[in-house]
Amino acid sequence: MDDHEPARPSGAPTNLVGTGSDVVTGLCLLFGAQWAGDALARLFGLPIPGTIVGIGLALVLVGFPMGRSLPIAARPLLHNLPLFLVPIGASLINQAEILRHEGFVLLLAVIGSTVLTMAATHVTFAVTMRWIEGQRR
Amino acid sequence: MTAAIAALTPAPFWILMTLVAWRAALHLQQLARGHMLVNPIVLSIMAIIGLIMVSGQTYADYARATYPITVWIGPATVSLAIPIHTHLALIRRAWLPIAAALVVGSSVAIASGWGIARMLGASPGLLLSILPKSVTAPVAMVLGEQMGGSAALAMTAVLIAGITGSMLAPLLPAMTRCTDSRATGFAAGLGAHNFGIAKALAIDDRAGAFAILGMACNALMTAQILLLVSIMMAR
Repeated sequence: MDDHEPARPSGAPTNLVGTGSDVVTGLCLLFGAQWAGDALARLFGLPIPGTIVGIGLALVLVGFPMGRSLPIAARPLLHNLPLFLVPIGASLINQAEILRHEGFVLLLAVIGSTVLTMAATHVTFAVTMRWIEGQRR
Repeated sequence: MTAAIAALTPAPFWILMTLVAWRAALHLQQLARGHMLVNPIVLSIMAIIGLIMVSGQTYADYARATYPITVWIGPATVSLAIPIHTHLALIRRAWLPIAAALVVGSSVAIASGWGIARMLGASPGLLLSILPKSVTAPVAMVLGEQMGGSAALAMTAVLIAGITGSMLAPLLPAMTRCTDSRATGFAAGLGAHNFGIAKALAIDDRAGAFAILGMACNALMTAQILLLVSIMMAR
Protein backbone atom coordinates (compact mmCIF):
# COMPACT_ATOMS: atom_id res chain seq x y z
CA MET A 1 0.00 0.00 0.00
CA ASP A 2 2.94 2.33 0.57
CA ASP A 3 4.52 2.15 -2.86
CA HIS A 4 2.91 3.60 -5.92
CA GLU A 5 4.43 0.99 -8.22
CA PRO A 6 1.78 -1.30 -9.65
CA ALA A 7 2.08 -4.77 -8.17
CA ARG A 8 2.96 -7.30 -10.89
CA PRO A 9 2.22 -10.95 -10.44
CA SER A 10 5.55 -12.47 -9.46
CA GLY A 11 7.68 -13.38 -12.45
CA ALA A 12 5.58 -11.39 -14.94
CA PRO A 13 7.55 -8.99 -17.15
CA THR A 14 7.06 -5.32 -16.39
CA ASN A 15 6.27 -3.31 -19.50
CA LEU A 16 4.47 0.01 -19.76
CA VAL A 17 2.01 -1.08 -22.42
CA GLY A 18 0.93 -4.04 -20.30
CA THR A 19 0.55 -1.83 -17.24
CA GLY A 20 -1.55 0.71 -19.14
CA SER A 21 -4.01 -1.88 -20.38
CA ASP A 22 -4.00 -3.55 -16.96
CA VAL A 23 -5.25 -0.29 -15.48
CA VAL A 24 -8.11 -0.23 -17.97
CA THR A 25 -8.96 -3.89 -17.32
CA GLY A 26 -8.89 -3.16 -13.58
CA LEU A 27 -11.18 -0.15 -13.98
CA CYS A 28 -13.61 -2.24 -16.06
CA LEU A 29 -13.74 -4.79 -13.25
CA LEU A 30 -14.20 -2.10 -10.57
CA PHE A 31 -17.02 -0.29 -12.40
CA GLY A 32 -18.42 -3.66 -13.44
CA ALA A 33 -18.53 -4.92 -9.85
CA GLN A 34 -20.16 -1.68 -8.67
CA TRP A 35 -22.75 -1.76 -11.42
CA ALA A 36 -23.53 -5.46 -11.03
CA GLY A 37 -23.73 -5.08 -7.25
CA ASP A 38 -26.21 -2.24 -7.55
CA ALA A 39 -28.23 -4.08 -10.18
CA LEU A 40 -28.35 -7.31 -8.14
CA ALA A 41 -29.35 -5.48 -4.94
CA ARG A 42 -32.17 -3.68 -6.75
CA LEU A 43 -33.33 -6.58 -8.88
CA PHE A 44 -33.72 -8.93 -5.93
CA GLY A 45 -34.64 -6.22 -3.42
CA LEU A 46 -31.75 -7.29 -1.21
CA PRO A 47 -31.63 -5.68 2.25
CA ILE A 48 -27.90 -5.11 1.55
CA PRO A 49 -26.56 -1.88 -0.01
CA GLY A 50 -25.46 -2.37 -3.63
CA THR A 51 -21.93 -1.11 -2.98
CA ILE A 52 -21.41 -3.81 -0.36
CA VAL A 53 -22.54 -6.45 -2.88
CA GLY A 54 -20.00 -4.86 -5.26
CA ILE A 55 -17.21 -5.33 -2.70
CA GLY A 56 -18.23 -8.98 -2.41
CA LEU A 57 -18.15 -9.43 -6.19
CA ALA A 58 -14.69 -7.80 -6.42
CA LEU A 59 -13.51 -10.13 -3.66
CA VAL A 60 -14.50 -13.08 -5.88
CA LEU A 61 -13.01 -11.50 -9.03
CA VAL A 62 -9.53 -11.01 -7.47
CA GLY A 63 -9.19 -14.78 -7.41
CA PHE A 64 -9.40 -15.11 -11.22
CA PRO A 65 -6.40 -14.51 -13.55
CA MET A 66 -8.01 -11.38 -15.00
CA GLY A 67 -8.51 -10.12 -11.44
CA ARG A 68 -4.77 -9.54 -11.10
CA SER A 69 -5.37 -6.18 -12.77
CA LEU A 70 -7.73 -5.15 -9.94
CA PRO A 71 -5.06 -4.07 -7.40
CA ILE A 72 -3.30 -2.01 -10.10
CA ALA A 73 -6.41 0.08 -10.72
CA ALA A 74 -7.49 0.07 -7.08
CA ARG A 75 -4.29 1.38 -5.50
CA PRO A 76 -4.46 5.04 -6.64
CA LEU A 77 -8.20 5.12 -5.84
CA LEU A 78 -7.62 3.79 -2.31
CA HIS A 79 -4.82 6.29 -1.75
CA ASN A 80 -7.09 9.22 -2.58
CA LEU A 81 -10.41 7.92 -1.30
CA PRO A 82 -11.25 11.05 0.75
CA LEU A 83 -10.75 13.28 -2.31
CA PHE A 84 -13.85 11.77 -3.91
CA LEU A 85 -15.89 12.73 -0.82
CA VAL A 86 -14.93 16.42 -0.93
CA PRO A 87 -17.74 17.52 -3.31
CA ILE A 88 -20.40 15.83 -1.15
CA GLY A 89 -18.75 17.15 1.99
CA ALA A 90 -19.07 20.70 0.68
CA SER A 91 -22.88 20.25 0.81
CA LEU A 92 -22.54 21.35 4.45
CA ILE A 93 -22.86 24.83 2.97
CA ASN A 94 -26.58 24.13 2.28
CA GLN A 95 -27.30 23.02 5.84
CA ALA A 96 -26.66 26.47 7.34
CA GLU A 97 -30.37 26.96 8.25
CA ILE A 98 -30.76 23.72 10.24
CA LEU A 99 -27.29 24.06 11.67
CA ARG A 100 -28.21 27.50 13.04
CA HIS A 101 -31.27 26.10 14.86
CA GLU A 102 -30.24 22.63 15.87
CA GLY A 103 -26.58 22.61 14.97
CA PHE A 104 -25.47 22.35 18.56
CA VAL A 105 -27.73 19.37 19.26
CA LEU A 106 -26.61 17.66 16.06
CA LEU A 107 -22.94 18.28 16.80
CA LEU A 108 -23.13 17.14 20.42
CA ALA A 109 -25.20 14.03 19.69
CA VAL A 110 -23.08 12.88 16.77
CA ILE A 111 -19.72 13.59 18.42
CA GLY A 112 -20.79 12.01 21.73
CA SER A 113 -22.25 8.97 20.04
CA THR A 114 -19.21 8.51 17.77
CA VAL A 115 -16.82 8.59 20.73
CA LEU A 116 -18.95 6.03 22.61
CA THR A 117 -19.29 3.83 19.51
CA MET A 118 -15.59 3.72 18.72
CA ALA A 119 -14.51 3.20 22.32
CA ALA A 120 -17.06 0.39 22.81
CA THR A 121 -16.06 -1.29 19.53
CA HIS A 122 -12.36 -1.00 20.30
CA VAL A 123 -12.68 -2.45 23.80
CA THR A 124 -15.03 -5.28 22.74
CA PHE A 125 -12.70 -6.28 19.92
CA ALA A 126 -9.56 -6.14 22.06
CA VAL A 127 -11.07 -8.02 25.01
CA THR A 128 -12.53 -10.79 22.80
CA MET A 129 -9.24 -11.06 20.92
CA ARG A 130 -7.28 -11.40 24.14
CA TRP A 131 -9.73 -14.05 25.33
CA ILE A 132 -9.47 -16.28 22.23
CA GLU A 133 -5.71 -15.87 22.08
CA GLY A 134 -5.60 -17.03 25.71
CA GLN A 135 -7.78 -20.04 24.75
CA ARG A 136 -5.45 -21.03 21.92
CA ARG A 137 -2.40 -21.10 24.15
CA MET B 1 -12.59 37.72 -11.07
CA THR B 2 -12.99 34.26 -9.59
CA ALA B 3 -16.73 34.50 -10.17
CA ALA B 4 -16.29 35.28 -13.85
CA ILE B 5 -13.83 32.44 -14.40
CA ALA B 6 -15.96 29.97 -12.47
CA ALA B 7 -19.07 30.85 -14.44
CA LEU B 8 -17.25 30.69 -17.78
CA THR B 9 -16.03 27.08 -17.62
CA PRO B 10 -17.41 25.62 -14.39
CA ALA B 11 -16.37 21.98 -14.84
CA PRO B 12 -12.61 22.34 -15.36
CA PHE B 13 -12.48 25.24 -12.90
CA TRP B 14 -14.17 23.46 -9.98
CA ILE B 15 -12.49 20.13 -10.66
CA LEU B 16 -9.12 21.91 -10.70
CA MET B 17 -9.96 23.77 -7.47
CA THR B 18 -11.02 20.54 -5.74
CA LEU B 19 -7.84 18.75 -6.80
CA VAL B 20 -5.69 21.72 -5.77
CA ALA B 21 -7.46 21.97 -2.40
CA TRP B 22 -6.92 18.23 -1.76
CA ARG B 23 -3.27 18.34 -2.87
CA ALA B 24 -2.55 21.45 -0.78
CA ALA B 25 -4.26 19.87 2.25
CA LEU B 26 -2.12 16.73 1.86
CA HIS B 27 0.96 18.94 1.70
CA LEU B 28 -0.08 20.82 4.85
CA GLN B 29 -0.61 17.51 6.64
CA GLN B 30 2.91 16.46 5.69
CA LEU B 31 4.30 19.77 6.92
CA ALA B 32 2.45 19.28 10.23
CA ARG B 33 3.83 15.72 10.40
CA GLY B 34 0.36 14.22 10.47
CA HIS B 35 -0.87 16.22 13.47
CA MET B 36 -4.46 15.15 14.16
CA LEU B 37 -5.82 18.70 13.93
CA VAL B 38 -4.48 19.07 10.38
CA ASN B 39 -7.07 16.87 8.71
CA PRO B 40 -6.83 16.96 4.90
CA ILE B 41 -10.50 16.08 4.41
CA VAL B 42 -11.74 18.84 6.70
CA LEU B 43 -9.25 21.35 5.30
CA SER B 44 -10.21 20.76 1.67
CA ILE B 45 -13.95 20.87 2.44
CA MET B 46 -13.46 24.18 4.27
CA ALA B 47 -11.40 25.59 1.41
CA ILE B 48 -14.03 24.58 -1.15
CA ILE B 49 -16.89 26.04 0.92
CA GLY B 50 -14.94 29.30 1.16
CA LEU B 51 -14.35 29.32 -2.59
CA ILE B 52 -18.02 28.65 -3.38
CA MET B 53 -19.03 31.56 -1.16
CA VAL B 54 -16.50 33.92 -2.77
CA SER B 55 -17.39 32.80 -6.30
CA GLY B 56 -21.05 33.78 -6.02
CA GLN B 57 -22.07 30.40 -7.45
CA THR B 58 -24.34 27.96 -5.62
CA TYR B 59 -23.47 24.56 -4.20
CA ALA B 60 -25.63 23.04 -6.95
CA ASP B 61 -23.37 24.67 -9.59
CA TYR B 62 -20.31 23.28 -7.83
CA ALA B 63 -21.82 19.80 -7.39
CA ARG B 64 -22.80 19.62 -11.07
CA ALA B 65 -19.32 20.72 -12.17
CA THR B 66 -17.52 18.22 -9.92
CA TYR B 67 -19.79 15.24 -10.66
CA PRO B 68 -16.88 13.56 -12.51
CA ILE B 69 -15.05 13.42 -9.13
CA THR B 70 -18.07 12.13 -7.20
CA VAL B 71 -18.53 9.27 -9.69
CA TRP B 72 -15.31 7.70 -8.39
CA ILE B 73 -16.78 7.03 -4.93
CA GLY B 74 -18.33 3.85 -6.36
CA PRO B 75 -15.23 2.16 -7.82
CA ALA B 76 -13.09 3.50 -4.95
CA THR B 77 -15.46 1.84 -2.44
CA VAL B 78 -15.38 -1.41 -4.43
CA SER B 79 -11.54 -1.16 -4.37
CA LEU B 80 -11.79 -1.75 -0.63
CA ALA B 81 -12.09 -5.44 -1.54
CA ILE B 82 -8.33 -5.50 -2.28
CA PRO B 83 -6.97 -4.92 1.27
CA ILE B 84 -9.66 -7.28 2.59
CA HIS B 85 -8.46 -9.93 0.14
CA THR B 86 -4.82 -9.39 1.17
CA HIS B 87 -5.65 -9.93 4.84
CA LEU B 88 -8.31 -12.61 4.44
CA ALA B 89 -6.42 -15.17 6.55
CA LEU B 90 -5.94 -12.64 9.33
CA ILE B 91 -9.62 -11.71 9.23
CA ARG B 92 -10.73 -15.35 9.35
CA ARG B 93 -8.68 -15.90 12.48
CA ALA B 94 -10.36 -12.90 14.15
CA TRP B 95 -13.98 -13.75 13.25
CA LEU B 96 -15.15 -13.88 16.86
CA PRO B 97 -13.80 -10.45 17.94
CA ILE B 98 -15.18 -9.06 14.67
CA ALA B 99 -18.66 -10.46 15.32
CA ALA B 100 -18.69 -9.35 18.97
CA ALA B 101 -17.40 -5.84 18.22
CA LEU B 102 -19.88 -5.51 15.35
CA VAL B 103 -22.93 -6.32 17.45
CA VAL B 104 -21.81 -4.05 20.30
CA GLY B 105 -20.58 -1.24 18.03
CA SER B 106 -23.66 -1.05 15.78
CA SER B 107 -26.04 -1.14 18.72
CA VAL B 108 -24.12 1.52 20.66
CA ALA B 109 -23.93 3.73 17.53
CA ILE B 110 -27.70 3.72 17.00
CA ALA B 111 -28.82 3.71 20.63
CA SER B 112 -26.42 6.40 21.85
CA GLY B 113 -27.13 8.69 18.89
CA TRP B 114 -30.86 8.39 19.55
CA GLY B 115 -30.44 8.74 23.31
CA ILE B 116 -28.21 11.81 23.33
CA ALA B 117 -30.22 13.63 20.64
CA ARG B 118 -33.45 12.91 22.50
CA MET B 119 -31.98 14.10 25.80
CA LEU B 120 -31.01 17.36 24.13
CA GLY B 121 -34.53 17.81 22.74
CA ALA B 122 -33.87 17.21 19.06
CA SER B 123 -36.78 17.53 16.59
CA PRO B 124 -38.09 14.20 15.20
CA GLY B 125 -36.65 14.96 11.75
CA LEU B 126 -33.17 15.43 13.17
CA LEU B 127 -33.51 12.43 15.49
CA LEU B 128 -34.27 10.04 12.63
CA SER B 129 -31.63 11.54 10.33
CA ILE B 130 -28.74 10.98 12.72
CA LEU B 131 -29.47 7.28 13.39
CA PRO B 132 -27.34 6.01 10.46
CA LYS B 133 -24.52 8.54 11.06
CA SER B 134 -21.77 5.91 11.47
CA VAL B 135 -22.53 4.28 8.13
CA THR B 136 -20.79 5.10 4.83
CA ALA B 137 -22.35 8.14 3.09
CA PRO B 138 -24.15 6.53 0.12
CA VAL B 139 -25.83 3.97 2.39
CA ALA B 140 -26.60 6.43 5.22
CA MET B 141 -28.43 8.80 2.86
CA VAL B 142 -30.77 6.02 1.76
CA LEU B 143 -31.32 4.81 5.34
CA GLY B 144 -31.95 8.34 6.69
CA GLU B 145 -34.67 8.90 4.13
CA GLN B 146 -36.19 5.46 4.70
CA MET B 147 -36.47 6.18 8.42
CA GLY B 148 -38.39 9.39 7.70
CA GLY B 149 -35.51 11.83 8.16
CA SER B 150 -33.76 13.79 5.40
CA ALA B 151 -30.90 12.64 3.19
CA ALA B 152 -29.08 15.99 3.46
CA LEU B 153 -29.24 15.96 7.26
CA ALA B 154 -28.13 12.33 7.35
CA MET B 155 -25.22 13.33 5.14
CA THR B 156 -24.31 16.16 7.54
CA ALA B 157 -24.36 13.77 10.49
CA VAL B 158 -22.24 11.28 8.55
CA LEU B 159 -19.69 14.01 7.87
CA ILE B 160 -19.50 15.12 11.50
CA ALA B 161 -19.12 11.48 12.61
CA GLY B 162 -16.38 11.01 10.01
CA ILE B 163 -14.46 14.09 11.09
CA THR B 164 -14.82 13.17 14.78
CA GLY B 165 -13.70 9.62 14.06
CA SER B 166 -10.68 10.60 12.02
CA MET B 167 -9.50 12.80 14.87
CA LEU B 168 -10.32 10.19 17.50
CA ALA B 169 -8.79 7.14 15.78
CA PRO B 170 -5.13 7.91 16.62
CA LEU B 171 -6.13 8.55 20.27
CA LEU B 172 -8.07 5.29 20.72
CA PRO B 173 -5.17 3.07 21.86
CA ALA B 174 -4.29 5.50 24.65
CA MET B 175 -7.96 5.98 25.60
CA THR B 176 -8.81 2.31 25.93
CA ARG B 177 -5.31 1.08 26.84
CA CYS B 178 -5.07 -1.56 24.14
CA THR B 179 -2.63 -1.20 21.29
CA ASP B 180 -3.92 -3.90 18.92
CA SER B 181 -4.03 -2.12 15.54
CA ARG B 182 -6.71 -4.56 14.37
CA ALA B 183 -9.04 -3.27 17.12
CA THR B 184 -8.24 0.37 16.31
CA GLY B 185 -8.83 -0.23 12.61
CA PHE B 186 -12.13 -2.04 13.14
CA ALA B 187 -13.39 0.67 15.51
CA ALA B 188 -12.34 3.44 13.11
CA GLY B 189 -14.14 1.86 10.16
CA LEU B 190 -17.25 0.94 12.13
CA GLY B 191 -17.64 4.35 13.78
CA ALA B 192 -16.33 6.68 11.09
CA HIS B 193 -16.70 4.85 7.72
CA ASN B 194 -14.46 6.16 4.89
CA PHE B 195 -12.86 8.83 7.08
CA GLY B 196 -11.90 6.23 9.65
CA ILE B 197 -10.52 3.95 6.92
CA ALA B 198 -8.31 6.75 5.59
CA LYS B 199 -6.89 7.23 9.11
CA ALA B 200 -6.52 3.49 9.72
CA LEU B 201 -4.63 3.02 6.43
CA ALA B 202 -2.20 5.64 7.76
CA ILE B 203 -1.59 3.51 10.90
CA ASP B 204 -0.77 0.33 8.99
CA ASP B 205 -2.10 -1.92 6.25
CA ARG B 206 -3.58 -4.37 8.76
CA ALA B 207 -5.53 -1.62 10.54
CA GLY B 208 -6.75 -0.49 7.12
CA ALA B 209 -8.10 -3.92 6.22
CA PHE B 210 -9.96 -4.22 9.53
CA ALA B 211 -11.32 -0.66 9.12
CA ILE B 212 -12.76 -1.56 5.73
CA LEU B 213 -14.30 -4.67 7.21
CA GLY B 214 -15.74 -2.54 10.04
CA MET B 215 -17.34 -0.15 7.58
CA ALA B 216 -18.75 -2.90 5.35
CA CYS B 217 -20.11 -4.92 8.31
CA ASN B 218 -21.63 -1.87 9.95
CA ALA B 219 -23.41 -0.81 6.74
CA LEU B 220 -25.06 -4.24 6.72
CA MET B 221 -25.75 -4.37 10.45
CA THR B 222 -27.17 -0.83 10.75
CA ALA B 223 -29.42 -1.43 7.75
CA GLN B 224 -30.79 -4.58 9.44
CA ILE B 225 -31.24 -2.96 12.88
CA LEU B 226 -32.97 0.13 11.45
CA LEU B 227 -35.23 -2.09 9.34
CA LEU B 228 -36.23 -3.94 12.51
CA VAL B 229 -36.74 -0.69 14.43
CA SER B 230 -38.99 0.74 11.72
CA ILE B 231 -41.04 -2.44 11.59
CA MET B 232 -41.47 -2.29 15.37
CA MET B 233 -42.38 1.41 15.22
CA ALA B 234 -44.99 0.77 12.55
CA ARG B 235 -46.86 -1.59 14.87
